Amino acid sequence: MPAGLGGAGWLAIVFETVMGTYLDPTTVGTVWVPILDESLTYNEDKYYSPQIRQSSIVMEQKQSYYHVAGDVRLEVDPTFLPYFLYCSRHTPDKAGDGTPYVYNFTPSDDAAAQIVAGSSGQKTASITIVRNDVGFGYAGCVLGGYTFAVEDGILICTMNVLGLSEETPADLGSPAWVAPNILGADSHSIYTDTAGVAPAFAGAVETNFNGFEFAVDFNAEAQNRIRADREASYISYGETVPTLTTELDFESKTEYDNFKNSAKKAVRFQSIGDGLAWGATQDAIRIDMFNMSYDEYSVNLGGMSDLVMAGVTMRALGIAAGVPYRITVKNTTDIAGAS
Amino acid sequence: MYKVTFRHPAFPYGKQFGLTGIGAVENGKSILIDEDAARRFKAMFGKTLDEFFEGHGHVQVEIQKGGGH
Repeated sequence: MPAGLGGAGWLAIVFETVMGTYLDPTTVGTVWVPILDESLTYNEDKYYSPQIRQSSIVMEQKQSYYHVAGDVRLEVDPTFLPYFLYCSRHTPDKAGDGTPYVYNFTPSDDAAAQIVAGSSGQKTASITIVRNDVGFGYAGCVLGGYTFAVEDGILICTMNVLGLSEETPADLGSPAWVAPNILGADSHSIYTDTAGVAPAFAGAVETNFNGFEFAVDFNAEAQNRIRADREASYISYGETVPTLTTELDFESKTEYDNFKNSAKKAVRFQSIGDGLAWGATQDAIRIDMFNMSYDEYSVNLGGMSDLVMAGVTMRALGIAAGVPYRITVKNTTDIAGAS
Repeated sequence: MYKVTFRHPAFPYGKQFGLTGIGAVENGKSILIDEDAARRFKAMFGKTLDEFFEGHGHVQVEIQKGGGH
């Protein structure tokens, strides 16, 4: 086979019916998701026998436990985003009739990845990646964390994927692509409000955010248990750590004082693709962070010609009778309807 | 002549897809592939349309009367 280009590759994802049982991309419900790059790899700690036998060089190596890990980076497209968020440490909720569907994802406290039936249950996925016409199948895939960031005006998501096993697809089928639907610079707005379980975010749009990065780390790990195979037994979750990182024009000391006083606030990021109001849009994502605390707020004079900016990291906290954060996606894709 | 039907349960009826080897198809609808296009398909992919899409969860290929391969 001749050399291949990355651009000819593709990624497909489909929800599994049994966690870790690989489904190839001919499976009904498969979607082909445009990506920017991926780094999924087979990770094995091979065993090198340290036998002492008159040799200073290891003489035997055996296979050991393994799992799948890596990142998938993509331009956020509301059409496909829920497929990944279903496969993460969230409690999903699906509403609407398709004009649009409204998917809400709030953090859960589950200790491990699992499949729960119905549109309000977590899933695991089989992900197929084709590199130079060669198929790699990854089973039992979930997100160990993710980052949403505005880069060059485009909302980009980097998904940290963990999987149980790698398989060779029996059939690669034939991809079917929909038109790209990415969220550009004129889509995004940021609002702030007082922390609470249901802030209205009724104030004016914030205009001094220079960058936006919302990261969630589930502290996930592949767990290997003694069984008659080598693949991971399950994916465990630890503490969930959601953070928001940005840079603000430094215009007053108010937020600096909030940082020192540990005052909490709510932040909303929303991105609408079709230019309609939130209530009417069929193509949007909203990230609500209900109880944010400043973790860092640094303001300095960087140089004679540098703007005076505040480097900010905030952390989403839990809140009584509420949720720390919620991701809402609106689209016309009937995801998980039959699961 | 081949009749190719694309059906994906997650997407609205009529949503347009670009199906590899075929081109534009609309969800839930069928397109007809004439003998010349079918020959080009086989030359490109090494299989006839029905062989290529056999087992594909979203694509159904029917050979129309008077057609074949």
